[in-house]
Amino acid sequence: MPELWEVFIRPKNGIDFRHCGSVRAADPELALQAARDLYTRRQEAIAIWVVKSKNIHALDPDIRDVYFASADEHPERYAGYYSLPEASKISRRTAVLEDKKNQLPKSAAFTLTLADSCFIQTQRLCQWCGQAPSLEEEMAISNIALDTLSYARYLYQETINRVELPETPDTLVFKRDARQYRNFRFIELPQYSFADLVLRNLIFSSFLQNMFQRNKIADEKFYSFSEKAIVEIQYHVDHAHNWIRRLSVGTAIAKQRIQSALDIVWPHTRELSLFSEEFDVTDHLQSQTRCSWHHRATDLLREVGLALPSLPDRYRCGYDGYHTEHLGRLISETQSVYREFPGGIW
Amino acid sequence: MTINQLSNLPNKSVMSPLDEPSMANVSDIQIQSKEDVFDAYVAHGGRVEASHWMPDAYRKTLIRQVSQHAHSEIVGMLPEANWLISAPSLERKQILIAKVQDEAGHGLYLYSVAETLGAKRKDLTDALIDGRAKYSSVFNYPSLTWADVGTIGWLVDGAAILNQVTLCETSYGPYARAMIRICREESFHQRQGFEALYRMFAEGTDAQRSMIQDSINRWWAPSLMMFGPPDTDSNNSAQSMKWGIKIKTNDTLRQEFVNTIAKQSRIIGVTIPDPSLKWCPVSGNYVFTQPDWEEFYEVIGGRGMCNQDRLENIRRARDDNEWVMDAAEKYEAQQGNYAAGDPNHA
Repeated sequence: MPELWEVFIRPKNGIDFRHCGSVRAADPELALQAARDLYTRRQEAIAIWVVKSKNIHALDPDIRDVYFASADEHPERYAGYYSLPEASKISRRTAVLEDKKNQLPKSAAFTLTLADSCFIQTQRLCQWCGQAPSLEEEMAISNIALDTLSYARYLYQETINRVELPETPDTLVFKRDARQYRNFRFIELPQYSFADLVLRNLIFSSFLQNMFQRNKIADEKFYSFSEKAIVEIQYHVDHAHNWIRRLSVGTAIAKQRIQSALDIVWPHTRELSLFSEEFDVTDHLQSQTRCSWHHRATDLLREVGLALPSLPDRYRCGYDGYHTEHLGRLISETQSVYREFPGGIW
Repeated sequence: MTINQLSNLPNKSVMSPLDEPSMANVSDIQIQSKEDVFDAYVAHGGRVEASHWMPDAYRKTLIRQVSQHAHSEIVGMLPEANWLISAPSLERKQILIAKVQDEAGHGLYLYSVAETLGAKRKDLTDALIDGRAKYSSVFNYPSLTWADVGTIGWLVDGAAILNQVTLCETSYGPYARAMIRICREESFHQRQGFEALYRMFAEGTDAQRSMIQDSINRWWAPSLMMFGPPDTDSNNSAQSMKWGIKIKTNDTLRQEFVNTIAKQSRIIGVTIPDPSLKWCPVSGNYVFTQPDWEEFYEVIGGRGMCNQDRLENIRRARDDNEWVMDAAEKYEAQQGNYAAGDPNHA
C-alpha cells in the first residue's frame, strides 16, 4: 500500500502553513500532486508541504499540561470563517443552427479543431470517473477535464466570433453530427487503460501548449487566455510525465503496457505535424516552437526506454473530417439527452 | 440550520479528556475509570483529538461511521457519473464534473479521518468491495434520466447536508473539521440540483416536466430512508448520541428534511408523491407517510437494484489498475536504491 503523507498548505503569503489532511502516495512527487488536486482545487493554497506521517513526532498527550497550562480559554481564536459559496450563475440563450460550416475560413478551422479536440478529450477523461487507479487520480483527472472543457468553451466561442455564425458553443457541440467534428483522430480513440490516458495526455497537452503559445503571439485577443492556459497545461504535462516515468521503469508489466499503448497512439502524431504545416504555425513561431512539443515528448519517451514506432507517410486527418468508428458512438451518447428533448431548457 | 450559522458554532473545548470538566469534582467522588472521565468530557462538549486516549468502542464506532460515510461519497459518484457524457449543455457538464470531483474529494477527506483513528484505506476499500462495509442505501437505486442529476442534488444532497451540518459539532475533532469543509463545499451541490430542476420545470417543455416528476417519484422514498430506520429501531443511536458522534436522531432529521422539501417542492412546481403529506399547524411539522422499511432492509442487506453493479464497479477500478499502483511503489523503491550510489540523487 502507498505511504501515508500529511498535507500542509499555505493559504497565502504571510500566513502559516496549516495541516489539512492526508493522502496516500508512493512517493513525494505523487503526494504533492495528489495534495494539490485534493486540497487546493478552490484556490485554497499558494504552497504545499507533504510530510510522511511516520516522520511526525507528537507530544505525549499525558504531559500536555506541563507545556500548555497557560494557553487555555481563548475562544476568540476559533472564530468562524466560512461563507456560502456563490451559486453558479446562469445566463444562456438558445440559438438556431444554420449549417454553413463546411467551408470555414482558415482561422476558424484552426480554433474549431482545437475546440473539438479539447471537448472530445474532456469526454474521454469523463469516462474515467469512478474508474481511476486511486481517488487521488480521480481528483487529478477531473481537474484536467475541467481545464480542457473550459478551453473548449473558449475556443468554440472564438470560432463563432471569427465566422459570425448564429451559434453558441452548445449548438456546435450538440447539433453537429459526428461527420462534422474536426478533432484530431487520436483524441477520440477509447482509453482502455491508464497507460492510454497518460500518453494521450502527454501528447495532446504538450501540443496544445504549443498552439496556445503560437496564439498568444499571433493574436492579441488570445493573449490573456493563452497566458493562463499555458501555465495550467504545464500541470497536465507534468502529471503525464510523472506517470510515464513510473510506468516505464516501475515493473515489467507496466512497461509492456505503456509500450503497447504507445504503439497505438504514436503513429497518429503524424496528424499533429500535418496540422502545424497546414495552419502555418511555423510562420509565427519559427521552427523551434513547432518542434518543441515533439522534442519534449520524444526526449521523455526515449529517456525512459520506450521505443517510438515509425510514423506513416500518408495520414487521413481528423481535422479534415476523417474519423474512426469510435467517434459516432461517442457523439450519439454526447447528444442523447439534448436530442431527446427538442426545445429543452437546461 | 444554514451554512452561514456554521460560523456561530459554539467554540469547542481546547481541553483534552482526562482533565477539567470532571476532574474539578474529583474530590467528591470515588476514583473514576478512564471511560467515565472520557464520557464526562465528551458530555461536556469536549473535542477528542487523534492523540487522545479513547475507549475502544468509541474508536470502532467512529471508524464504522466515518468509513460508511466515505464509502457513500465514493459509491455516490457512480449514479451521477452515469450522466457526465450526456450532460445536455457545456455548463451542466462543467458543474457535474466539479460536483462528482468534490465527492471523490470528500471521500478522501473522510478516509483521511479514518486513518487518524488507525484504519488503513486499503482495508476499508477491501471491506467495501467484499460487502463487509455499508454505505448509504440510496445509491443502490439507478439514475435513469438526466432529471435524476437534478433530483439527486436536490433531495439526496439535501438530505445528506442536513445530517452533515449537525456532524460539524461531532465530538471527534478531525471528523468535525472534515465535515465543516465538506459542508462548505457541498452547499453548491444541493443548489445546483434545485436550480437545474427549477429552471427546467419553469422554462422547459412538457416532456422535461414529465421527466422531472417521474424522477421525484422514484427518489422520494429512498431519500427519506437516508436518515436511517425510525428511532425505535435504530440499534446504534443511543450510545452514539451519548458520545456526541451523532447529534440528532434519525426521525428528527427526517422531519426537518420533509419540512424543507415540502416547501421547496412548491417553488419548483413538482408534486411530492405522498397523498398524505399535509401541514400540521399543531405540531408545526408536515405529516408524511413512512417509506417502506422492508425495502430499506432489503437494500441494506445487499439486495437492492444496483448493489452488485456498484460494488463491481469499485472492484474493477481497484483490480484493473493494480498494476499502476504497483508500478508507482516499485519506482519509489528503485529511486531509493539509486539514491545510495548516485550523487545526482543526493
